[in-house]
Amino acid sequence: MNCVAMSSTARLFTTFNDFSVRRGFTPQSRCLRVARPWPRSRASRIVCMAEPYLITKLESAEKTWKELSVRLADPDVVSNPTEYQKLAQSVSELDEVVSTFRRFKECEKQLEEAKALSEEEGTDVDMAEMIASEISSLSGQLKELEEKLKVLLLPSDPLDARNIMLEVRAGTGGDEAGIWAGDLVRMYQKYSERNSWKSTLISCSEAEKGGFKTCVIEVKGKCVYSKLKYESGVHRVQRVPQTETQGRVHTSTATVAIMPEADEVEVEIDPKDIELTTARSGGAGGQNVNKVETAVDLFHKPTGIRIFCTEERTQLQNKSRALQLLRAKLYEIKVREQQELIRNQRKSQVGTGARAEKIRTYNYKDNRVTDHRLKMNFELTSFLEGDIENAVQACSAIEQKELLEELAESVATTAG
Amino acid sequence: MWKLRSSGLSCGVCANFQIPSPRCFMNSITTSSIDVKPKVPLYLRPPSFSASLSELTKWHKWAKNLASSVGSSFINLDNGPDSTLLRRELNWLLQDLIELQHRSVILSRLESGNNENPDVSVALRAPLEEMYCVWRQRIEKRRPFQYVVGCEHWRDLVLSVQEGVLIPRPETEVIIDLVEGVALNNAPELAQGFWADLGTGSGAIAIATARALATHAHGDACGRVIATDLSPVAVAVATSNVQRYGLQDVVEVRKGSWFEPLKDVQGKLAGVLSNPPYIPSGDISGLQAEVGQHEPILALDGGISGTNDLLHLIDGVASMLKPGGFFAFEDQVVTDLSSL
Repeated sequence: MNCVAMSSTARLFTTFNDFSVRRGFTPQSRCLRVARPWPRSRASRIVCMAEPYLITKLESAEKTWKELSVRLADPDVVSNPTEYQKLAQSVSELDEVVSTFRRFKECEKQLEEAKALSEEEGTDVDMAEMIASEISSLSGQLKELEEKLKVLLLPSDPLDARNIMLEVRAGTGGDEAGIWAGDLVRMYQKYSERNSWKSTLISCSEAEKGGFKTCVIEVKGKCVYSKLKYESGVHRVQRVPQTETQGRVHTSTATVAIMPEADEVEVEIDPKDIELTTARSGGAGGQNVNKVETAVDLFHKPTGIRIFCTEERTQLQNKSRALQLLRAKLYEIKVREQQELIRNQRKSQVGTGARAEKIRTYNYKDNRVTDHRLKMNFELTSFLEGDIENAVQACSAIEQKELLEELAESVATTAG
Repeated sequence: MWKLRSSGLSCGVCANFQIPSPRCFMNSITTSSIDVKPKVPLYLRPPSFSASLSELTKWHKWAKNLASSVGSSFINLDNGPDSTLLRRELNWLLQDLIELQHRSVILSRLESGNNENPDVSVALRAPLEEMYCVWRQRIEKRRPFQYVVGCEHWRDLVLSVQEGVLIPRPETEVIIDLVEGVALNNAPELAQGFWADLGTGSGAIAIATARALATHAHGDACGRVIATDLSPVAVAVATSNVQRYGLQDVVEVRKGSWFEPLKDVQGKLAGVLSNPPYIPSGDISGLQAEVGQHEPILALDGGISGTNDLLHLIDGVASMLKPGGFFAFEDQVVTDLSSL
C-alpha cells in the first residue's frame, strides 16, 4: 500500500457550495466577494487534506499536551520535583508534534484561502499568477509538514540515545581477516571523529601480522546507537592481501557487533556466575617483576562469554570495564532476541541485523562498497576514511519507511 | 609468587628466630642531602608546551616502531616486557602527556591515522624533544615506565614515584584487602588505633590503609598511620603523596630503620604492615633490567636467603603490637625451607 497514493485520493476538498463566483468575471465589473464565504469554527470542525488516521492521532496528541501543560502548572506537581521532571519531559516530547500540527493547520487554512481567491479572481493575469505560485508553494509546504508529522508520530527506538560498545572480530581469512578487522576499526574511529564522538579502546587482542583478532571500542556521544546500529553484521572484503605474494584476490570477513550500553538495573550479574583472573595470578611476581600487566580475564559461566580487558592502568579499572562490557553483551543478547521477533513480524531489511548476516561487500579492485540491504553502491576509498554517513542515512530512511507502512497498516486494520 | 603471613594474635608467635646481622647495602642513588625535592609526575605538570599535530604524529609513529622492534627480545633476555606491553605503555604516556580537554580527540586521531589539520597545535605537559629522549631511555636503557611518567596507578590511587623509590606492585594491593577484610571486619576497633607501614617507599600501603581506616571508623575518631623508611628520597616522595591525598593529619612519615623510629608506640600498635625486601642477593643480577638496574636495591635485597629483613620484622613485631593486633608482611614463595 502506497501512502502517497492514499493521501491524494483521500483528500477532502472543501466544498465551494455556497459560492457561486466562477472564472470569467472581470474584476472591474463587480465588487469582489470576500474570499471567506464559509464560516469556520477553529476548534471543532477541522477541514483536512491528510489521512484521517493521522488527524486522529494528532488531535489526541494535542489534547494530551494541553492536559499535561495544565497539570504542570498545578502547585502540587510543582512542589514534587520527580513528578514535575517526568511531566515536563512528556510535554517537551509532544511540543514538536503539537507545534508542527498547528503550523500544518495554519498552512492548510492559507491554502484554502488562496484557492478561494484563485476561484474568485481568475481574470487578472498578474494576480492569477501570484495566487497560483502562492498555491503551489503552500501545497509544497503542506506536503512537507505532513511528512514531518508522520515521522514525528513514529515510535522512536528507546535505545537511540545510548552510547555503545563496538566490537570487531576477524572472521574467515586468517591473517588477512585480522588486518581487515583493523581497517574497519580505523573506519569507525574516523567516523566517530567526524561526529565529534569520543571513541576509547577498551580491549583488544592483536593479530600476528597486524590488525586484530578482536577489538572493542567504546563510543560515547549524541545518539550514537541510532546511527551505528545498522553496522551489525558481517563485512566482507575482496582484495589482494598484503601477505599475498602472487597477486591473487582473496575474500575475507570480519564481524561487527553493536552493543548499546546497559544500566546495572537492566542486566543483573550474579557474582557466583563469574570467574575473574588477573595477569599475574599464578605467575612470577612481586618485587621480582615490573611489568605493567593490569589485564583482567572475566569468564561468565552461564553464557560462556569470555572478556579480556587490557587497556586501563589498574586491575581495578580493567575489572570494572570488563563488567561494563559483559553487561553490554548480555543486554545485546536480550535486545537482539526482542528485535528478531519484531523483524520477523515486519520482514524488515534493515534494523539490527542477525549476527551472521552479510551486510556489505568491500571490493578494492572496483573501488566499490555494496550494501546488500540497500542494494546501493558507495565509493570505497572515502567510505573507509569514515565517510559512511550516506549509507547510515539510507538505512535510516528505509527503516523509517518500513515503520510508516507498518503504522498505516496497523491503523487500517484497527479502523476497518 | 608471593605469600603473606598474617595473624590476628601478637604475643610470642615467632620468637625463635635469631636476629640477623645488620645489612649494609646502600642504594647507589642514595643522597645524603636532607632536602630531597620530589619530582612532579608528568600528568600533574602544567600544559605549557605545545607541538603541531603533525610533529606529534611523527613522534608517535617513531615511538610505536621502536616499541614494535623489541618483539619478544626482552622476554627472552630477562623476562621483560614485550612489544604489546610497550605499545600499551606508549598509550598511557600519551594520556599523561596531552592535556585533558583535547585528549580523546588527539588520541583517536593518532590511532586512526587521520591526516587532516596537521598544523593544529596540541597542548603538552612536556616538550616533545624530551619525549624522544625518555622513550629512548625506556627502550634502550630499560628505564621503568613508571619513572618515565613519574607515577604509578595502584588500587584506586595515583602515586608519584621516582628513582630511589620502589614502584608499588599489584600483588601488594592484596595487603589492603586483608586489612579491610580480615582485620577491620573482625575487629573494627582496630580502625581507631595506630598502624605502622615499615619501609613505606612511595607511601602506597600507608595511604591506602589510612583511607581504609577512615571508611571503617564510620565518623568516630579515626586511627593514625606511621610510615617509616630509611631512604631520604622515599621519605620525601611518601610525604608528597600523603599531602596530595590530604592525609597529613592521619599519616606521619618518619625516617629510620624498621622499628627504631617507633619506640614511642611500642606495645601500642593496632597493626603493622610491610613489604620488606625479600629477594635473595644472588638473584638480583638475573632480574629484568627495569627492576635490577633501576629500582633501589635497598628495597629489594633481602640478604643471601632473601629473608633477613622479614625475619627481623617477625622477631620484633610481637613487642610492637598491642594484644589483638594485626600484622601482614609480603614475601615470595620460599623454595628452600631449610634456610629458615
